[in-house]
Parts: sequence; C-alpha cells; structure tokens
Amino acid sequence: MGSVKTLANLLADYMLPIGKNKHPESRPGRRRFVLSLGWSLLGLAFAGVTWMTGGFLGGARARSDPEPANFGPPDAYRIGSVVKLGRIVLLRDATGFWAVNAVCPHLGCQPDFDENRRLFVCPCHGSQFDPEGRFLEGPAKRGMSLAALRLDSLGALVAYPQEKVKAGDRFKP
Amino acid sequence: MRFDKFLEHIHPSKISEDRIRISSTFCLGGAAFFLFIALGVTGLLLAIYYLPSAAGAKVGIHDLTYVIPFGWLIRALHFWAGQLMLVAILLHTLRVVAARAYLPPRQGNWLIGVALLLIAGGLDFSGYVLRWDSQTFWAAQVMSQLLERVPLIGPELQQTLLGGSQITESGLLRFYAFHCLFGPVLCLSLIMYHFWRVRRDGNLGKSL
Repeated sequence: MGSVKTLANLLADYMLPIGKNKHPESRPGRRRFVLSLGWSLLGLAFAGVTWMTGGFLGGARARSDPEPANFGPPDAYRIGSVVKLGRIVLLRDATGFWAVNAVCPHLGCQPDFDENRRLFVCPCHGSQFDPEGRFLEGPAKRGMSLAALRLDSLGALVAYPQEKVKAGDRFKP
Repeated sequence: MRFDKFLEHIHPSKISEDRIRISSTFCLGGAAFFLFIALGVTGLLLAIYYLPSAAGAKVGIHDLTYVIPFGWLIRALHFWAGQLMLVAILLHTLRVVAARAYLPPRQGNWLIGVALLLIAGGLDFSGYVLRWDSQTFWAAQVMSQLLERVPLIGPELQQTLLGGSQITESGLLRFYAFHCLFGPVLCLSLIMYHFWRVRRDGNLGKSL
C-alpha cells in the first residue's frame, strides 16, 4: 500500500490544476519533475541515436544460425527433391539426405536454390554455392555450413543448424 | 578578426517586439539551416558505404537499403531532409519577396540567398544522380543536353561541369565531388555570411 500512497502523493504534487495554486513557479517539486522528465527523455533519445548509429557503423554481418527445422517423415521426399523451411534447405539424392544452412557468409542474406543450374545463388551480391554449400564464386569467399540431421522420437526428420557436419556426409534414415 | 564574440552576436543585444513574433519570419531560414545540419550528419554516415563508381553505387545503395542496420533509416532521413530543405528555402524566398526585404539596404543579402537557393537545387539534383540507376542516369543525360544548349558557352559549360559530352563514370565522380565537397562547403560559407548580413543590414523588412 505504501507504494500506492506514494504514487498518489506524486500525482497530487505534480498534477494539481494550476488554478488551485497561486504561484505554480513556487512549487519546485513540479518544476524538478518536468525538468528531470525532460532530461530523461533527452537522454533516452540520445542513447537510442547512439545505439542506432553504432549499429549502422558496425555494418552488415552474417546473422546467427537458424533455428532447428522439423521436416516431417523422410519418406515424403523423393530423390532429387529440394525443400526450404525457414533458412534451412533439405536436399535428397540417391545416396541420402543433407541440409544446408542457407545463410550467405558474406552479409547474411538467404541464397536461393536454382533448380535449373543446380546451385545456390545469393540474391544480394550474387555469390554462388554448389548444392552442398561449397563456395563457387562471388564475394562470400567461403561456403555455407551443413546442419546435422536426426530422426526425432516420432520419426520426423529434424535439422540442427548448431551441429555442423562435413560436406559430402549423407543421412540415411 | 575576432571569433570569440561570434555566438554573442548571432543574436542581437536588443530586438524590437514585432521582430520576435513567429509570423515575422516563420523561422523558415532557421528550419532550412537545421535541415542543412541534419543533411550533413546523415550524409557523413552515408559516405561510409557509398562508392562513386557504376558498380560501387549499385552495391552501396542496395546494402544501405537492405543490409546495413538502420541504413534504410539514414537514407530516408537524408532524402526527406533534402526535399524539406528545398521547400523551406523556397518558402523563405517567398516570405522575403512578400515582405519586400530584397530592397535596399538588403539587396546584397537577397543575392546571397538566391545563390544559396541555386546551390541547394544543385545539391538536390546531384544527390539524386548519385543513385546511378537508369532513372537518374537519364536525368543526368537530360541535364547534360540542356547545358549543351546554353547559348555561346554551352559545350564549354558541359565540358567543365560534367567532364565531357557524354555522361560516364567520371561524370558520376564530378556529381559526387560537388554533392559531398564543393556544394556543402560553398553552402556553409555563404550561410555564415548570410546570417552575419541579416544582423548587419538590420531589421527584416516589412512585417507580414
């Protein structure tokens, strides 16, 4: 109850209509309140601008790895299929499954899989990667990582981007 | 020359009552100056990511808009501050015309103001060309052809300002140099002189 009382006192102190008070400027409490409110808002605005400018000057960076993705029962995918879920792309060939973290190492854009040319192309600056995420050309300079694949207790295929696997590794359910 | 009293002289020690009314000036010159400062700050930030070449401009503007954190915001602030500054200067000019403040003894400062209006227009246009996409490339092309048709000195003017009869990357570099260096420096020097002349010439002309 103490805090409620204090709040009520504060309100009574600061929000009283000026007409009830012959000399509003003689109430230093109100002036102090308005002054500190003003300074706080100014400080907040300054902190916000500093934060945003810092982010701007820091420039672009690859974002963190994507979340795990549940692709459901593996039987649903034919050989040669390419499926994108969030930022993970699941691919299947005759030897098994693999999952690419489709995050360009250059500036963190999401490369799309070009079905005709059978390669990943980044829409931002045109970096290219083979179907297993290996770097081919462009400003990225290195390849994309592969996510580990496991079956969960219900038999669904789940990709874990935090657990990296080598290019060429296949998952056979 | 003394600069230590500069700030004290920005505002006069005495001022008549009708001159401090907002309707005397609508603070349009002040608004334009504030926007000029905002343009300087956001422009310095944009300069970090912009490269004045055909490929550099494309990548720089793409990254600023879609990749760099808050890049879109800085770009939008710079764009809108630029448009609003031109509007503020135009309204300021109209206010001065309506108050007949271009008459002696203020005719000198009127000419400085007109020069500032023209430079601001040039800054606006050159900033637009820096985007260097098909739209702004052809805008620069049109400007180049207009310059060429100026009587007598047309081709020389075109050669001097754009570095050739065709718009190329070296033309882009000239737009860049004007937009980031020559224009702003010239503008700032004239603005300071303009302010000083307002005080020296006295009053503001007829009140609206």
